[in-house]
Amino acid sequence: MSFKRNILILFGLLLVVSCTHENVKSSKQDIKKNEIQYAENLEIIHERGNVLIHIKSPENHQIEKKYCIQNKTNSIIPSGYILLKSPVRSIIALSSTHIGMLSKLKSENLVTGISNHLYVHNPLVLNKYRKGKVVEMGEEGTIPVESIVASKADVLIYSGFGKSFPHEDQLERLGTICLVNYDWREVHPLGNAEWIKLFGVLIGKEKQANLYFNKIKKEYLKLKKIASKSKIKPTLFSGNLVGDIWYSPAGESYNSILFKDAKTDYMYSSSKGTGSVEHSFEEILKDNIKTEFWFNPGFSSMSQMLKAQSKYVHFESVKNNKVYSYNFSGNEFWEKSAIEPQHVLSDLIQILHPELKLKNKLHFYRKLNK
Amino acid sequence: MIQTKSKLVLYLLLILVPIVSVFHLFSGEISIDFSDFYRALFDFDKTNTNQIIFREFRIPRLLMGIIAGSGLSIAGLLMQTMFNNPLAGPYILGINSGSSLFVAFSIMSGIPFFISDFGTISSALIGAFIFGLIILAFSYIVKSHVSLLLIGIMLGSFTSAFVSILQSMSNPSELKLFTMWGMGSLQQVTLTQIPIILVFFILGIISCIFVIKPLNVLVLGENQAMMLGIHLKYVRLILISITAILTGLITAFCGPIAFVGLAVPNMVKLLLKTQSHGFLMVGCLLVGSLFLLVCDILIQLLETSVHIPINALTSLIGAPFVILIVLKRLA
Repeated sequence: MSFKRNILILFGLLLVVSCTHENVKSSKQDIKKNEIQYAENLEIIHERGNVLIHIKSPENHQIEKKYCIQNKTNSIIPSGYILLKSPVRSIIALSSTHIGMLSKLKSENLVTGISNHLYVHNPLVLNKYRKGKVVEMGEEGTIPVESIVASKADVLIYSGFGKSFPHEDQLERLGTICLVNYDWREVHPLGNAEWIKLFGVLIGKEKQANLYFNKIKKEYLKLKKIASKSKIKPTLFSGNLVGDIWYSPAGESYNSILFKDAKTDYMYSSSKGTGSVEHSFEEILKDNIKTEFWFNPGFSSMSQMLKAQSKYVHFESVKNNKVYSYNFSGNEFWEKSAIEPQHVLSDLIQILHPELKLKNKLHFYRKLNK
Repeated sequence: MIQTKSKLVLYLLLILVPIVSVFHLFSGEISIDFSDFYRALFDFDKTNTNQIIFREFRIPRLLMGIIAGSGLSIAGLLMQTMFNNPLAGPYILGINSGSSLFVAFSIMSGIPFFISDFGTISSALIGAFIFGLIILAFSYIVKSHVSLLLIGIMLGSFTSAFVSILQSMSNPSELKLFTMWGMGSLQQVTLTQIPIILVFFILGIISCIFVIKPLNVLVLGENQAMMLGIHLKYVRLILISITAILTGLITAFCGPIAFVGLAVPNMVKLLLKTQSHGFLMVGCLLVGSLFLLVCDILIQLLETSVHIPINALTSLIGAPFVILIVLKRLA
């Protein structure tokens, strides 16, 4: 009796173990792992042979758009998801940052449409444009639907300035998926760069995208640590006048984080918000007449800047020639800075902390010539 | 002749302008005391922020407010009398647009001479003059007041379209310079630019003295004026030239400012109730200055909560006033 009972118990245990094993196996398949670390508006989840992409609204961080890439042909597409066929073979990239990200994955050859060639730096894309293999579409929101249809692009990536792409549903039915890219709304520089992972899953280069991101993350954090060791905190202000209003990066913004990571005393670091703060010119002068450095004046030469507003001459930073700008090659900056935040940080540290003797070359920023 | 009541109004305006000017000087976001004001004028310390703000920011801004307000109002008065149309003005007739178009050409050409102050002023003056001549030519063909205004509006639309094309073709730095200029501002002007602005402004105002008599006669109608020995062709050319100088000058330094030239002369006519252009001009000088200074004070007072460009505020106030005039005429 006891033997029989033991056998039964053993059988029961085996059954439980085997069932548990099955559960473990199936839950491993079900694992929902968001691969994103810094980007607040993007989720990439691997689930049951699918890659689920969630684009979140930058306003409330609620999921706004859901896309699904099938890694296995027989996987079930969850309801509410738009199917994306990967690897994508042709892309309309309406922002220069998109071209920058694709170029890091050596895939800028996939670009078949751009908004305006005047804002493109990438030589390969420009060359293709000159040969007529890349089409100029125009500004987001003004692009004729028929041009998009004629381009036969698999995906159109747009910046979504507060609204969906016009005729998004019709275009989807005609074979072009419109994918919104909120990289520009990311607050952390690494969050901005992390959107390369979206391009990675789109073009079938996920591993390369992850490798690249991990590499730049390591470099960025290393540079931040180096800067933190400095005993000085140079003062700086940023931005310029537009009409009568001076726009400076707000305290929780992308630029403010860069300034903080470069260990600087940014004048408006305590201001609220992730966008910009507005001031009158008088206020800016009062606050910054003695500030040591001025970044991002929006011009590439001192004469041009003073032509736009000769009263800038009162700033100590202008008198001491400590004004720095990325506008020497604006297109290059916009194309690469989002995906090379470590180089932006490196430039800032190099300029603001000469005592750290970084000895890196300047990638984007230059001093404005007198 | 002007009534005693109207004279009193003029005296009152004459007292108001300096009072509002002082208020304007002290209405910025940063509070500056009288001692800094005194030192900024007579014992300037280049290292004192408050004094710099006073001398380099507020004084040029005040002077430009007075010049722009009065200059545009006078230009509007000239246009209204010349075309015998109370709804005429440099902005609505497309004369400002002419200036804008030529400034756009000069800035976006990238040629250093045209980007200089002198180049910008020259372009604005030439643009205003050419567009003044165009509208004058149309006035010979089109007799209806409304049609002429429509042609002016169309000229404005035409130039806007042309400027948009130029913008799409220009490089980002030139585009930025033009965009900054086009936003319109009284604080672009520096103290060193004031003398050259004053020279052109005084030239324009002095020229007005010589056309007072023809303007008074023109009110009676073109035929009457010709019978009284007015050489219409020359008078019109002089009026267009003065308007071009005043409008071009102000547009070059402040960007386009709408409705001042249209609304203020009508306000002055309502206040003074006279057709004597000598008095109307003095009225335009005073009311125009007051109008733009009050607008600028409002902008500065609201600055902590909302930033309004000068062009937007003058339109907000001027446009309803123009609608009122139209309704009054219909009634």
